[in-house]
Amino acid sequence: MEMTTTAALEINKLMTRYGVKFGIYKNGEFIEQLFPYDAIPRIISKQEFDFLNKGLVQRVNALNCFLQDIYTNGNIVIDKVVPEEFVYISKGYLPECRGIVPPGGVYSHISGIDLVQAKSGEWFILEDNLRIPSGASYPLIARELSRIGNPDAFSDNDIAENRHYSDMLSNTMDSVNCGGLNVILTPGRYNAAYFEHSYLAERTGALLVKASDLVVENAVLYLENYLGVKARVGAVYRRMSDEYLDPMTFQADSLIGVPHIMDAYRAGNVALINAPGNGVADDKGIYYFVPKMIKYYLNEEPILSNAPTYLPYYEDDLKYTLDNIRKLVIKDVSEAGGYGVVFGSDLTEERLSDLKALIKREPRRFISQEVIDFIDLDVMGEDGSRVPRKADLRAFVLTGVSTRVWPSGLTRFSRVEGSFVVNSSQGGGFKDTWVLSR
Amino acid sequence: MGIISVEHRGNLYWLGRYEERVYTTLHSFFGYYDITLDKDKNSYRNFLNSLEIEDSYGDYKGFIRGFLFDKADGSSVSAAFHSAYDNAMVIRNTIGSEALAYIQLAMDVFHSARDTKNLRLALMPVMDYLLAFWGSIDDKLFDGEARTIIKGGKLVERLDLYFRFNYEHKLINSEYEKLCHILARAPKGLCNTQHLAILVEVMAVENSYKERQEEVLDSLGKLFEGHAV
Repeated sequence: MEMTTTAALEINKLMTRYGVKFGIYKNGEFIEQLFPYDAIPRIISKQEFDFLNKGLVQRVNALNCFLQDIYTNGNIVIDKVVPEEFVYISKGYLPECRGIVPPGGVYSHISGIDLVQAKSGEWFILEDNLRIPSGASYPLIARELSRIGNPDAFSDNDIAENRHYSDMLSNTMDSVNCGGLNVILTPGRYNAAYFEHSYLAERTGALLVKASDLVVENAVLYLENYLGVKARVGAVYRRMSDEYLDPMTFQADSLIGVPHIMDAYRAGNVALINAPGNGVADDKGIYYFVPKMIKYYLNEEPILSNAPTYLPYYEDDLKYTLDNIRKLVIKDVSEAGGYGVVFGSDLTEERLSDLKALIKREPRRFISQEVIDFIDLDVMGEDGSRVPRKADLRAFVLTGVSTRVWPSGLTRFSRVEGSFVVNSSQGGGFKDTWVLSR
Repeated sequence: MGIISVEHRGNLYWLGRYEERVYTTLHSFFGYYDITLDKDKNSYRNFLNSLEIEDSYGDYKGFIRGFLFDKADGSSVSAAFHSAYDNAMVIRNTIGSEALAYIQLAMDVFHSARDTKNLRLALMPVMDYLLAFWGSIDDKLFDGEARTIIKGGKLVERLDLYFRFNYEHKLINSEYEKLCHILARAPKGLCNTQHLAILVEVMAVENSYKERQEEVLDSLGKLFEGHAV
């Protein structure tokens, strides 16, 4: 696919014009910056996408089954497929959600599944994000602007449409709406993903609200206008963490949550998207068990593979991890956003020894994985030359009446040569992801 | 009636005010800028007097640097621009990405004009983008209530500045009529129309506002009182 420097510059100018930004906190200060965009897209063939599609639908369906099971009967624990230490003492497990079956029985409405493609061509799942996965708005607006900045690319290639993400999202909200408005609940202007909140509100027609706009009365959630007139809210696409959602149920000092919103949710009067408590299923430790969940709930073989993973919780895996630590990547299960990830090969003897001691002391806290040498994608340098950079893919899977994969995704790349860290919070950039339609 | 929350209403109103503050201040500034070219280098002080801003800038160059471009100076055009942007970006879903983009474009051109030798020429596209912003609001903002609020903010600010700069009665009257037109269509409860009485009185007698400026400005500010952001 040809991408001229001029076209790339034009597209980036449009990104500036439309304020495609994200925020980071540096030394306590909020800084909003443009999300570095590389105009050379990642291209996925139709055949490859069809395969990913099946695997992702299967995985998300199993994860939804797991969440329903864990918050009701807990059969998977009773049957000893997943040890209870990985469920009930997980930071993501919320006892307050026990017994609640959300509208439509859907827990993870919007799932962000991170994948990488190894140099062999095989795809591996790296992580499941089932809480508030962000990023869909970036390839969405990038596509819109690329069609203006580089129209020939779209005449000359058969690229699957991705601009219906807002319709997919609206349909997902509608499918679980308990009667009333759809709203997007944002913590506010100083959230890293604020651009996304406001852009998705614009595209879906949902109202963008803050907690101060909402009120719960008799276990029903209302949006109040400036004259005090109330309108019922039926679905909340909330873009804040569980712990801040309701100060009466979770963190009492939360100023960005809606008091008693959990009462409305518990009474079945409002859908919360995604459901609170999903963290129990996207914990890095529980990731190890997802292939087992697929067999347990769906009685199917997993279509997509996990990266080879070891749980130091198990004696054999602990021994393997300690013996091979230099060639493994070690992840702290309680961290996210690329933090808490260390490559054994990067550590000094002293730090390796400290890490080994820590793993022995707190085996449940870590997983170890074989390092997947995932593919490099071409990224355009400032002089127009192409340079290879590591890249992953966040696929967005939406569940309402059925589970569907968005034929696109957020391709994140490292801007540092040789680095595997692609997270935007750590300087990574993004690309559009083209799925070919034939 | 649309579902516009208290905070959202404040954002709409103050977006209107700050956008207009940038536009009319620059417009007025250009008049003084012209005088400084060959007539009076200190004419900027009259400009500051009209706005009741103390001259802490030292000289004309300091004034340009500070009053226009110093974001930390709360009276500056730059500060008003940032306030407009802050209010706009939280209501992207109401005003639309296109309208927001015009503010972004105007700000980018404005900041890049800082080091130019021909300030007036460099700032002309800023005015173009601001007008395009209002065009976008007129053309694309379908929620009539939201449009009333943002335009109410715009007209309150415009009248405020016109009074301060002692614009001629005919011009002020034309903006006053626009404001009345907006208020007549506003939903009940949106405005504190009792504060309109002084304005009505003053506008009936040509130039009486010059003696009663303080009262007039106070009333104008209270028309949408209680929703400042």
